[in-house]
Amino acid sequence: MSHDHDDHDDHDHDHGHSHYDSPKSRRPRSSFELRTMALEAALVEKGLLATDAVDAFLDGIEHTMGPHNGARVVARAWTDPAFKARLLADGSAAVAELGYTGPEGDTVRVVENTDAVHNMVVCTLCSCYPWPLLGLPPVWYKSFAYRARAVSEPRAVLAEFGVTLPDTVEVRVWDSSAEVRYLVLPQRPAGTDGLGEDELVALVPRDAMIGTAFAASPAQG
Amino acid sequence: MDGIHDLGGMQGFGRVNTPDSGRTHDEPWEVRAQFVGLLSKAGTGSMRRRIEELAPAEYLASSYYVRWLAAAENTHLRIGALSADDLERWYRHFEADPAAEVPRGDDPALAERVTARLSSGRPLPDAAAPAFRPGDTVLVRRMHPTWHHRCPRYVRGALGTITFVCGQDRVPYDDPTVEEVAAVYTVQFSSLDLWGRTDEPPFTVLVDLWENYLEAAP
Repeated sequence: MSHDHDDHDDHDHDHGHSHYDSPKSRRPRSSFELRTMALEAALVEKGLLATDAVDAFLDGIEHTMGPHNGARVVARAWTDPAFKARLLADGSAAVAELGYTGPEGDTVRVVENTDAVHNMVVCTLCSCYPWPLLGLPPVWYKSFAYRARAVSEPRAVLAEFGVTLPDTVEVRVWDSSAEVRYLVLPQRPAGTDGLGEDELVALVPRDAMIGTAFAASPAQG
Repeated sequence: MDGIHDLGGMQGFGRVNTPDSGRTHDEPWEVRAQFVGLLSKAGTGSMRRRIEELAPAEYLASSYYVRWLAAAENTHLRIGALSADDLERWYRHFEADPAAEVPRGDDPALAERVTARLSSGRPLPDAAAPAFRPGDTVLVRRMHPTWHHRCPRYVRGALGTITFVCGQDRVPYDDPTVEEVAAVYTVQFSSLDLWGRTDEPPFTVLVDLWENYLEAAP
């Protein structure tokens, strides 16, 4: 699911500062790409944009930040009960222990899935998302359909992701309408008792930390 | 404003999980457009507000990143930081010469501040004088603001329960210089109070709301 984006990352990075498609790329630039280039150039011309600041932010959001950080938090919580307790009591402070702080991640609340409760996260008004922990949100998270339906028919949405829950499980939908950013702590999969933190990280897909997937079993992972 | 962006509970948008929707974006310019808008030094104010004021038909017809691009263009034109001629001239320049590069304008001091910000956290401070406590029942106010706010329509008029006091934060308004601060709460709602009985078993929705949007339950 994520390999397309990874390809983009590599492609993007190879071209250093430009962050636009290479002029030698296989097809003409879209009107949207030309408009973005024009906006950036016009702002630079007026002294209203710092290219190096944009580059630094993009590098952070596309490389330093990302679901690998969230997965580390989850794996740590699965293996370190004291960390888990701190994480659920004060998410902001606990993720800061691992260095996962920054814009759109200043105030973090971690919500735990159990046999009785399944959490999922949405932003109905825009696309609020914990950047330091998960990077940029996927297309579906930003879609009109998810923003509209997650709060009114969450089980139908979950079913599209292959997640079905017994009727007895309470579904909790968190609409991140202010500045708190949410991370779901998925349940640790069965059969992982002997695994260490690094091995567990690989079992935590991004969507499990939004609430639209389960953590993977070792065979799947 | 009560705009098209306030989508919670709307119907007719189809499937969520579609092929390729696990990607974060498709083209490099998309994220670039978002961050050019966010990091402009022209004083654009809240980009959320700028996106919300796109015409509803344009909002719905545009992709996520095209909305960011259009909002950034519109804002710079409206505040006079850029002219339509500026954008048109550069557009034609890049259209005519596929090898043309975007000029750089570096500001190492700002880049350093951005880099520092990327690894710093500023959690919300504790609320100084919250009017409500966890367990309190509250009513979300009926209101119809023309200004930027963060109170979804689907919870207005509903009763909820304070679950957390998140802290205090600036109340969102159009004018970014307004310094009003209020407590922010996580308010828990039963789906029965928002949507009535549906095909799904009752569930819980939790929404973060500023104190201005709430009153004590009657």
